[in-house]
Amino acid sequence: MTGSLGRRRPNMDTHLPGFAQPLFRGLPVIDDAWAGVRETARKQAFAAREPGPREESWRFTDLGALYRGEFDAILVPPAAVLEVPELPEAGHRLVFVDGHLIPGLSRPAEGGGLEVRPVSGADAHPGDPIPGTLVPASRDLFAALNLARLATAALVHVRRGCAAPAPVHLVFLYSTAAHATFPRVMVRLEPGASCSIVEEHHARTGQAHLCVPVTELELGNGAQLTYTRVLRQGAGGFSLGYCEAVLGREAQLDVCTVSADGRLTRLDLGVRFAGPGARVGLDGLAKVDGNQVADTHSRLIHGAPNCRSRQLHKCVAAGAGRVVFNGAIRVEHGAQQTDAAQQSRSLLLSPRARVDAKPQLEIFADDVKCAHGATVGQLDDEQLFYLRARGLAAPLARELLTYAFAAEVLRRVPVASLRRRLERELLAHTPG
Amino acid sequence: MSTAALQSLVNQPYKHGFVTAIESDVAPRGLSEDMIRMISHKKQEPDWLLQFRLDAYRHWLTLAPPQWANVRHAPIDFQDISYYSAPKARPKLASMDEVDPELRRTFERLGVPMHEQAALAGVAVDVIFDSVSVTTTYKARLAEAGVIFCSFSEAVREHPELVRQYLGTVVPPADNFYAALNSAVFTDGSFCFIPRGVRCPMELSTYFRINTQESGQFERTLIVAESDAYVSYLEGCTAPRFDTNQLHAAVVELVALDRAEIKYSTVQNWYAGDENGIGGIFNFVTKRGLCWGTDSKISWTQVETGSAITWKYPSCVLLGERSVGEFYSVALTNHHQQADTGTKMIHLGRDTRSTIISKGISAGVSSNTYRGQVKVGPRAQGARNYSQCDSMLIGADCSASTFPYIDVQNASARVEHEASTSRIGEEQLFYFASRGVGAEEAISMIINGFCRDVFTQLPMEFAVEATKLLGLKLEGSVG
Repeated sequence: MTGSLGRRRPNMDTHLPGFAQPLFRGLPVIDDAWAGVRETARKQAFAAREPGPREESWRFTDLGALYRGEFDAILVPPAAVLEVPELPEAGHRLVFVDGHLIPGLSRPAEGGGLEVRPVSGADAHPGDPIPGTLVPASRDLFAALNLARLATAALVHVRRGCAAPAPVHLVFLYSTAAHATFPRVMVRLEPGASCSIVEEHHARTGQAHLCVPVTELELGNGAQLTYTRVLRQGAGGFSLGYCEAVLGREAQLDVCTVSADGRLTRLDLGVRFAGPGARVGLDGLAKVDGNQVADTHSRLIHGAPNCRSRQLHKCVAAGAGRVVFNGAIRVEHGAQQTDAAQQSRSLLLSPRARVDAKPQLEIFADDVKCAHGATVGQLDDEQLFYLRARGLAAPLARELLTYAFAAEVLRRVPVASLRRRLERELLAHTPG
Repeated sequence: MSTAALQSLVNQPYKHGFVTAIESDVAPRGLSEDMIRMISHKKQEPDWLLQFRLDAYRHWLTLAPPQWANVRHAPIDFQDISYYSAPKARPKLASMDEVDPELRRTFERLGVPMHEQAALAGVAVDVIFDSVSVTTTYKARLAEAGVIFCSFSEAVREHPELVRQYLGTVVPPADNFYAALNSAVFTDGSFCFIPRGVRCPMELSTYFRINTQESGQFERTLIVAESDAYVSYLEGCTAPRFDTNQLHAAVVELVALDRAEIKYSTVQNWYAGDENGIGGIFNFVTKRGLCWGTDSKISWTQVETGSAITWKYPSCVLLGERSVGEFYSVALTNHHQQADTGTKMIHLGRDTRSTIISKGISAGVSSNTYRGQVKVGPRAQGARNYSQCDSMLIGADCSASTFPYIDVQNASARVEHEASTSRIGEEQLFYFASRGVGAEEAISMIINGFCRDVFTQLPMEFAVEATKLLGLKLEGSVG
């Protein structure tokens, strides 16, 4: 089987966009439990269309710069020692560098109520989640590439009724220019389980690189998950991320995403209520400067009655930065007593900054409470005047108001040390 | 719906007692350059207008029908439509007694004045009401003020320089698929010109323009208000309008120069198909106003209750400094109706302001979508927008969607959008019932309250009729 796949490949490469072509060159074919998943995804990647501005969901996100690049895969872990962002509160931790697990820096947990471990096709347990269940290769080119190039994923599995005692820390570092990485995180909370997970992506290079992180979250009945996702992709980084969650009856999910820097940072965030009485909180902060683009697409599907969702998304755009927010809420037929509220607030700090916001409501049930609000504006002159009248210099006053704007999201980051670190890093040098 | 079924609908006869006389002067089906030359020739149009049509047609050939709207219908065969028929004389009825009783009942419940009823139902007006004198009086008053208000064909003949100057300036022929089609084949419509400094002495209503009531399925309207002019224009009426043409693709262009104001109100109640979603009109309209001058204002108010499918986005291009755009809309869908409607506010000039108030009501198994865009260009310093889009759902099988697009390229802009959904629930009806108000009246009151922000923008008699109209359309939907 290995050989025949190897021979067929060159003919199909022609269909793949140029930027992704090196990804399959010289790729060793491993015959393991995930070989079928990878092969199907590879075919789908070759068949998928290149996302472009003609498609509604990519209209505002220019992928031209990405398509002009070429990205290679790193087959052996780099030797360089990198600084790992520390989280004193965290218990178990997995650290990946350029897609490869670094065992020396990781503190996995195996057996018992909580499992935090790397998983690959070669060592997957029969009960482990199947990659691609929630973010399948059929979704689009990038999701297909992630599955097709899937090697080692990070797995967090909390057994029925168990609670993780401390936050689980998943760290992904990127150190090599012009390379592509395809991290995947799989989280399964059995009924009644609870856990807090912090997933961080940090570039240690300012050069162009591509990263397609995919996270799949499964919450059983009554499970509780706090999921924090931090993206610091560096000046040259392209990040096209996916996060998909499905919630059982009365489950509770709190998501907090924070992204800053990055040539292009995109997050496709999906949540589906599969059982009644569940609750979701989504908080997001995206900050751009220079010619950066931050694009958040969220889709909340109320597929069951009596569920409640709250979403707050904030964007800060400076320089010639551009932010895109597309937040859909869909209430399906029969999802009565839904209570959904969404707020999108964008702050423009410079005349060249740009915002595209598109909140969407699609409602197919009548006994529901749904609302969304979107605002775009600049710092309030009156507020600036108030602060200046009290002796604050204009730049400081602007910084303070920007801080206050962003702090509404940052203060919801559930881990104290991370919250302080983000406040320090993101808000210290707010440009005027 | 199969194509065959659709075709039979395109040619559906009047269902409510009207008989359409077969015209001898109907062009064969299909669209070609020859057909356009024929239309232009029949209307004795100048060369530049023929060229305008041909350019539009050639561009149309390169376009595909838009797919993005949240509506579903079978593909339309554009070669299976007859693009020209001589202005039809409506069958004249001798008296009101000959009018379909169902239609008469509707008129009465809407409170349409007697002479309007007669005119709308096609009764020879001189039999019961001397509306000719009404028409004459208003024509005299308009002429005195210097206002030009006539059919589009008449304008092409009498005021070609004005038509040529403004036609296609707001909605260029290449704007979109249906605008291109309209530019190629439009047969008639309305033209209105308010000269500098004139405040139009009366509300202009297409109803008065009896001679061109059958303006066909590709209607073209052009309204120009010169500096400091004001006009309020009413389109359509609350009475149900049946039509043999299934596809309607109209274009409306408004131009407001310095300090001019145009108020455009529409009440649309075209045939929506029966309870099972069979038949009904496809209303694919391009309406756009250009606030060209400083301090100009364009205000759209619409009450959309008819048509099987509505695809309509009255928009404002705010080019002049401090110009103002407004959009007030009530869209009601029932049974199998589909509406994808909203507005675009394009802020290009400094300190431009816009307001969007949209109320969507869906009942039955209908689908009601608000789709709007607020765009602030890089030079629109100090632009402001406020949007509010509320939906009301009646019954568990309908749907309401909201798709606002906000695109801001200027940091000094302030854009706010709010949307909410609500319903007429048993609790509210119980509340009314316990105070002795019956279900029908309660619904009417709730709907009226829900739509109040829009109804207050309508001219008085329209507002009264519109309230009754919504109640009528929703009959039997609740309880």
